[in-house]
Amino acid sequence: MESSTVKAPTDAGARLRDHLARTKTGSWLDPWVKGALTALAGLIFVLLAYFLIKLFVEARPVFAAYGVLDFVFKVDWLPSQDTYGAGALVAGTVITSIVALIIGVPVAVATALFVTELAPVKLRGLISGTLELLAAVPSVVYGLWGFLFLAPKIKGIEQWFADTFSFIPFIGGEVSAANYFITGLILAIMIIPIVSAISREVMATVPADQKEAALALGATRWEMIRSTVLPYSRAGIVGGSMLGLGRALGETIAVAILIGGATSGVGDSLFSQGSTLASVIALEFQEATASPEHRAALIGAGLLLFAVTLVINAVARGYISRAESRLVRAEKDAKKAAAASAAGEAPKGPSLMSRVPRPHLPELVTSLSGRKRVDSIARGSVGFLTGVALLPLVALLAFLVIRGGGAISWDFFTTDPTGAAGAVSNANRFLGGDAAASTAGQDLGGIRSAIVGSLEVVGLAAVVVVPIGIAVAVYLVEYGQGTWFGGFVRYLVDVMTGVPSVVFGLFVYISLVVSQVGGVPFAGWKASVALGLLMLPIVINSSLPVLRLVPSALREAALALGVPRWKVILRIVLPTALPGLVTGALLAIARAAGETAPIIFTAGVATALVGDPNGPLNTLPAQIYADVTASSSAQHDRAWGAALTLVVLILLLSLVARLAQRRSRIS
Amino acid sequence: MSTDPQTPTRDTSIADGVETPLQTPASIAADPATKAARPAVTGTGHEVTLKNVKSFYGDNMAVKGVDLEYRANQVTAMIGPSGCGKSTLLRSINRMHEEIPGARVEGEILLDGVDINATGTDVVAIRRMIGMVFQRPNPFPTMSIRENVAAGLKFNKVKDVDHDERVEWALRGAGLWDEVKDRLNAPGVGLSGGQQQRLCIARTIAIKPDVILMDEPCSALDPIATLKVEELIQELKQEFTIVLVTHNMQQAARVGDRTAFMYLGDLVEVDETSKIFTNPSDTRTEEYVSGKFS
Ligand SMILES: Nc1ncnc2c1ncn2[C@@H]1O[C@H](COP(=O)(O)OP(=O)(O)OP(=O)(O)O)[C@@H](O)[C@H]1O
Ligand SMILES: [Mg+2]
Repeated sequence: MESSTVKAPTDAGARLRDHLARTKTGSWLDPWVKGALTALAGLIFVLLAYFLIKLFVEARPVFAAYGVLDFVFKVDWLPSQDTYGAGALVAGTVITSIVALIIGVPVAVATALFVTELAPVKLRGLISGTLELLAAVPSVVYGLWGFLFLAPKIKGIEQWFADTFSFIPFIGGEVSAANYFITGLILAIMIIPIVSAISREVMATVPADQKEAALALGATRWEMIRSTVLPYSRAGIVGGSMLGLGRALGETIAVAILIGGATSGVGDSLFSQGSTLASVIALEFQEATASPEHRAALIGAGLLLFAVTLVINAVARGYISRAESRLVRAEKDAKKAAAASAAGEAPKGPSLMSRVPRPHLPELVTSLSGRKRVDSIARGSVGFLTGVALLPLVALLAFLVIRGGGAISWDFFTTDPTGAAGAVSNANRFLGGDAAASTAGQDLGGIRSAIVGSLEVVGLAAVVVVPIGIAVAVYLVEYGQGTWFGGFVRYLVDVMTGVPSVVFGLFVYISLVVSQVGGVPFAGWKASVALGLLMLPIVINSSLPVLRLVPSALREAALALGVPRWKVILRIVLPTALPGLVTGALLAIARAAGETAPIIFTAGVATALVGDPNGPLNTLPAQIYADVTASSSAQHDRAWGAALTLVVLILLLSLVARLAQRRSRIS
Repeated sequence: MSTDPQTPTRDTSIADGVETPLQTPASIAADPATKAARPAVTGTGHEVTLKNVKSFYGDNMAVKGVDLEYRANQVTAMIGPSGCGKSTLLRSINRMHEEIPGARVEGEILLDGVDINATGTDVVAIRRMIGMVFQRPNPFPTMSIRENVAAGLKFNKVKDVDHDERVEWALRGAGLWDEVKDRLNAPGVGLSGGQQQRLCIARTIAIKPDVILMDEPCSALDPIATLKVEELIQELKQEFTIVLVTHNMQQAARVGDRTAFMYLGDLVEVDETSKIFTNPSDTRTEEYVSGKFS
């Protein structure tokens, strides 16, 4: 090597030192930005810790009085006598969820099979699009439809079923209008889109060569499905079902409308009234203001619900990631095999063909015509079940458009509601008919205040939470990758995703409403807080993959140009990810706009148009909830009109979100 | 930094040299025509000196104590088998290495005699003086051609130069001006791969760094685009000090004034390019440049 001949660095070095001293790079901001983002991520921890501690502290009296086990299993929830054993609520939650799973999962899996394997290509997009539409309908609208349309329609069938099969335990006797079964049925309809979407994703990943191998061995289409598609996607289906279960467990408003609200016992049949952990919170929270013990019991129910959903969601995620990792493994294996064969090696171990699970042909039906018959029967049933899944949507949409459209006029949007609207008057208003008397013959007015209030509440939540959520996601992607703190925050976000919205509502109720923060108990901004808590994990989770998709080459290119890190994030990463971030934010907003449970705890009762968010505000979901359960048909009409308005607003948001996604520049 | 938009002159003798078939790196390096094509250089540039530089990924030492001098206004080609630490060394020179979690650098890296790793030195300022061109073209997808080239100026709030003039200067310098002058507002990602790479070079030279590091800038390009970039490198060295990592021996022979051979994290030898390819001192170098290396 040559000896280095460093020229006297004096002039060049001096110039450089001088230059270094003079350039303002803005890099002094870097540690501050990193600190601020870390602090925001830490906020998630503070928030969740405060949330849990607050709930525990407030629920302590009831656990102290009964012991955890007795509280969970004792069947004597009698607020009038101040005894609170949540056994009946737990049973109600379990019963409705099981009904939802038994009905929902087979139908959902059938639709997924139909869409991925059997349907003509043209039909596939239509069906999956329709199912996604179902997912966008807010639960209060499902409750409305179930209560006003489905329940009366199927009461006769239920009664016939109960009478015919009364020899089966827990079936028979008098069918009540509101009951476990109808609740479970509506829950089933609500979880079908979720379960179906995840099953579809997993089924789409079944390697084509495996399917073709089965078909090449002479299997019929159904035998191919049974021998390759179903076994391959089992973990994904189970995971998706568990996620659906989590949703069913935490569903509040639809259940509160449909289940009747009896708490003293489990009832004697599937067709009796009951309660779930979530519904009892929504139905009784207001009368509980007078009794601290009652409140503690409701919070205990909320905690219990939270604990159960936490476990269920964790298990579901485990299953889904197992399905995904198996896919990754399979891809790796395939790559290895390809590399080996490219290198001229003979494949070691069992050959590719023998690794394909052999279709074990049904032994009872050995003749070819018999197998063909089984095949067409099976395919027919899958198609039929898909139709069954789509039926409620068509009915629901038709009803929405016909009844809601009938209620809508110019006045409907420009006048405020009158009467007992927007109110959550008391728990038993499903049973009493006092609203009818007061509103009969009176002009009910429109829903202006509800629309404006909804925009206000959701807008406020979005303005605060969307930036925070994106900032936390930026922290996780840009700074938290591979650190224990990043992993921890990521986990907390997952936990937060699983908190049922009613529990967030309850939390805001006890920490902001009861203590009259801001001088008033109920206020629009408190509803924004509850919705914000709900949106935060959604925004974070939808931003994460989008930010990760921004190629690191772009970050490096900008850094190498001498751009400080914070500016790289602001000017390169965020603009590149923008369409995806917009999509995520809009979907979170759409989700929050339909939420009812957290709002009725927090925004209070109002009918007039109010601008000030520090006071009770009317909202669309609250308006629907109040009108649904009134017994005057004029109010029902107003509920339909409001529901149509809400669904159209949400669909518009989802549509814009889709368009934004399409503009995405990262593939 | 001068602000006058000057256009580096083109010369075609290198292109002519390449078109001759059956050339070995040694013949290219020894060819007096190639030598003659290299313009005489006045010593206005900046130099980088490495003293016992070690780069780590966690505990794994990828560069094991390199002493090397990148001379002003010269192209230093870096060759060596895959995984020998060329990229790691290059990224250490403009402190991009430290962006990788757990990565660190030991030893001294001197730019005109000033230690770039000295405490209190602003890493962002260093990167403005030591620019980098990456293996794969990476234009900013949200920006137009013009915005891509001006990105460094804009982000760094450089106000004492006319951005449009500088964009034109940089695009001419990168040999891209004639191809894009009518669509400066079209998105940068709409260009072909070779054009994108030259756009990225324009983006790098637009802030007029002292030193330009290029990590296999032609590996994603076709022969014609490669040729253009090579011509460009020859011209750029009149103003910049250039370090070029390449797997292409012919390329090293064509554009390198000096060539450094790295092996397993060590610098085996560095010398005049003609010497490396015709009469290297180390047998490992000889085996590598003659293709006997496995
Ligand atoms: N991000 C990383 N983390 C850990 N080790 C790394 C990382 N990047 C590179 N290495 C290791 O450092 C060594 C040098 O890698 P480097 O990328 O510098 O090689 P290279 O000479 O540029 O190779 P190539 O010619 O293939 O680009 C290799 O052994 C590699 O495994
Ligand atoms: Mg490399």
